[in-house]
Amino acid sequence: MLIIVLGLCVIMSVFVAIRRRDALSLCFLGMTLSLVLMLSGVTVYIAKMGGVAAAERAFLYLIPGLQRWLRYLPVYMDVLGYITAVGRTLFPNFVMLAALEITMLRWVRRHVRLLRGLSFVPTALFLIYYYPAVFQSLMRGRLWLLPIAINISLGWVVIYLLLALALIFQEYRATTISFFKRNIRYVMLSVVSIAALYLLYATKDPAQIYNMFIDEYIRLGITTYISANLSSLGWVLLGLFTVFFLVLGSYGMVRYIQIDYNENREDLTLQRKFDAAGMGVSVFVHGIKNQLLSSRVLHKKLSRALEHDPPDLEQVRACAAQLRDLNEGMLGRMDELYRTVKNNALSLTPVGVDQVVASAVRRFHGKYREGAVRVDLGTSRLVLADLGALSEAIYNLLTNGYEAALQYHREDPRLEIVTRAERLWTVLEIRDNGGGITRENMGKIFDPFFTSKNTNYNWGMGLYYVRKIVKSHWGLLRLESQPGEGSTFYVMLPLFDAEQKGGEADG
Amino acid sequence: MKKLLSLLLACGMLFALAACGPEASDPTPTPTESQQTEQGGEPTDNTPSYEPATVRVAYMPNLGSASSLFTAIEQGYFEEVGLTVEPYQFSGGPAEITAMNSGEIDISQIGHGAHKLCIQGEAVIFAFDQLSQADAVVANKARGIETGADLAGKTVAVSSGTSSEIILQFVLADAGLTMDDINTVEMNVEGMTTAILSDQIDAAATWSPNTITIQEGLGENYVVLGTNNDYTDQAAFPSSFITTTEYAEANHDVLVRFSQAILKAQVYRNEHIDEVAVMLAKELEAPEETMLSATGEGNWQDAVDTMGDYETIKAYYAAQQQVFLNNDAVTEEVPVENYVLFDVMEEAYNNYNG
Repeated sequence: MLIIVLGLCVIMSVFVAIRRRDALSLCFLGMTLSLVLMLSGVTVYIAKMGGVAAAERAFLYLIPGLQRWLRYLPVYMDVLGYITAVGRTLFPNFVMLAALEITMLRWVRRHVRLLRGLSFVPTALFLIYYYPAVFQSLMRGRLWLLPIAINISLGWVVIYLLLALALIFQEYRATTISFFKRNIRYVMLSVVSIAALYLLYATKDPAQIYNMFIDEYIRLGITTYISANLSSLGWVLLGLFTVFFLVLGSYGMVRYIQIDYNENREDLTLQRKFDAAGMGVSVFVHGIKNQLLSSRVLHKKLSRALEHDPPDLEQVRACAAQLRDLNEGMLGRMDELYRTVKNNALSLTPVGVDQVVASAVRRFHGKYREGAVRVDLGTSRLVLADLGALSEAIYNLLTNGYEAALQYHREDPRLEIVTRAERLWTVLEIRDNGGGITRENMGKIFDPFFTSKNTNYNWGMGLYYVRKIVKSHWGLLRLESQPGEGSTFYVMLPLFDAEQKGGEADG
Repeated sequence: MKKLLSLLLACGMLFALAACGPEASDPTPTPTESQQTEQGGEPTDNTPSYEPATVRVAYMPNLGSASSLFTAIEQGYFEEVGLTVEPYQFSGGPAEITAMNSGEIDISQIGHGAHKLCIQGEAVIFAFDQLSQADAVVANKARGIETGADLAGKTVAVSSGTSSEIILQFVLADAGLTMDDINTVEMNVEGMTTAILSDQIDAAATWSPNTITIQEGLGENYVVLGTNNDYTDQAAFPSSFITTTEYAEANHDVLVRFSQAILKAQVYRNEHIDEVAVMLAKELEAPEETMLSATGEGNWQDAVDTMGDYETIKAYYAAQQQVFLNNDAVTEEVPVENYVLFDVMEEAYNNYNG
């Protein structure tokens, strides 16, 4: 049972590490590996020493012969003890590092490198203390030190775990965006469940494995690994809970900052992109062909008008006007296509997020004068942005939302734009009450040439363009949508200056 | 909803952990015994009725430690006195005493080494089991060891606090060496067996039946540097059943009944040692031949001869204490009566005879 649980722990954390490839997932992997290290040491020790705990053979060893094999394993007790001590000592450090990664507390973020470094200091000291030769020379003739050292080491473990959990919990409390909150909750619960498994044996002193049998250990009443910690039912329950929360936590970890849908799925969507590009070419050809067919009709009309004697000048003028409009339309669409394909050279300067909103709303009203937009400025923080490009992107989202509401035949097409300071992000939320986006389409809408609208008037480059602009601002674009209720786009831009006034970042 | 579910599960887990904490050590009764079987003993007119009781007993997986306990279980001697016995296997005596002190075990069968803890007041002896001949310091000739003196600078595996460590100290003292002259590595005895056979260590302070496995593995290179029998002039190596002072005070009657069954088992063991070895091989999942080769590891006859002879038993324990006093493991002499419950022994013997 324990082997299965530990195996799953490792598989899940390796999976998360591969999917995320970031510091947090490495901390997570470190946590599980150090837990595995500690529990391996303990279970081998129990196999060797026997006792009441060893009676739970099925749960500890699963395979009947494994305990016997471990009992005969020629490993020195000081090696076994140190393996256990290393696992026990590293675990709280990894939990702390994970908490430092997760927390957005301004003070912590500002000193994160220092704190990371400092967190290793007691860990290193305990690793030295538990080194068998050091431990034995330290304790020889000074056994009064033993209970003090045991309490200090346990106290350190508890303090680290509590501090780390408090940081993660604080982050959970301070986060207001629901999908972030949900994912932090998963991460928090998985850390708690792994920590519970860890604490089962971490409360005991690993040095007992080196020389458990010195009388003083027994006289001091130091709790031993060979005592039964859990009943059979307890093991099953703990195993199930750990696996449950681990899967949930890993899900949370993978989702935690994976806001951009396509970012980590490029391999999987490569084929689809290829298809999309192919489709894009056909859309492009179809669009151009329509325009050229219209142009041919006009050309014929023009020729006929000119064949009259005298030429039908009114008809000629009308055709010329239509041809001009057609040409302008084509140029406009070409511009749109070109704009999204070319490499945008952005000029980023600190601008107030309120300016970005105002500019976007102004552009929107240029197109849809009657469209009402409710603006809720929760923050006016500065962001580092190209005002033109970013407001164009927001304008695109507003236009999309408005058109979606119209297409859904809403009597009161509603658009909202909200700005808020969320931890280290400045977030712009653009909400509409359109028909929403189906789960199936959610993965496609950022693809170039994807559109659900009439292709004759739309090239499907809008959201691709928005995403591109947001990404070039080091930002993230996230979509939440309920079919029939509407959609919300989150444009998340990194905090420009952590020192700036506003205070919202601390939640 | 999901949040609620997660919180409920988290609470459930904490509850499960709390509920399954240290108190949860009460193990499930083994199916071979049950309290009802108390009435299952042979009904005779003289059979007194006993208050059923369950005792958790620690033993080590060798003939010397487990033979009387498992004989009493197999022969139904415990059932006759209304006891249900749950046996728990341990690697060494000190670990047994630790488990006993934490309340997980009621009674332990210990070898010579762990008696030091009884002298120091950690536990009390209530039944004498046998004089052990199981411990030995063995070495690999191929690593240049022929005598105790050759141990200097060599790597010797030891399980601290056990009887075999005492034999190692004797062997070293004979050769004019101390523990500081050798490189000791702490290992469990089964680990030592694999280690010496794989040339990881040069010598091992171990006990039967590991000695037999090592002998078979090393063949001509197997050398015994010392056993209990080499030091009987200087010491005695009794093994005993012990318990905590608190348990002894509260369960005097249980200890008497337990001892009574053990006395009966000791007689059976002496007469049928091969049969007991085969039975034990099955119980301990050990090779039958190895167990049969180990039948000489205890003085089974002496255990029967000394029944009711408290002076001899007392002399054994006094001689044993002297070993600890000589090597400063115990600093002050303690009267044997302080840690050996002769009243339990006497009552059990009288009941057994009656």
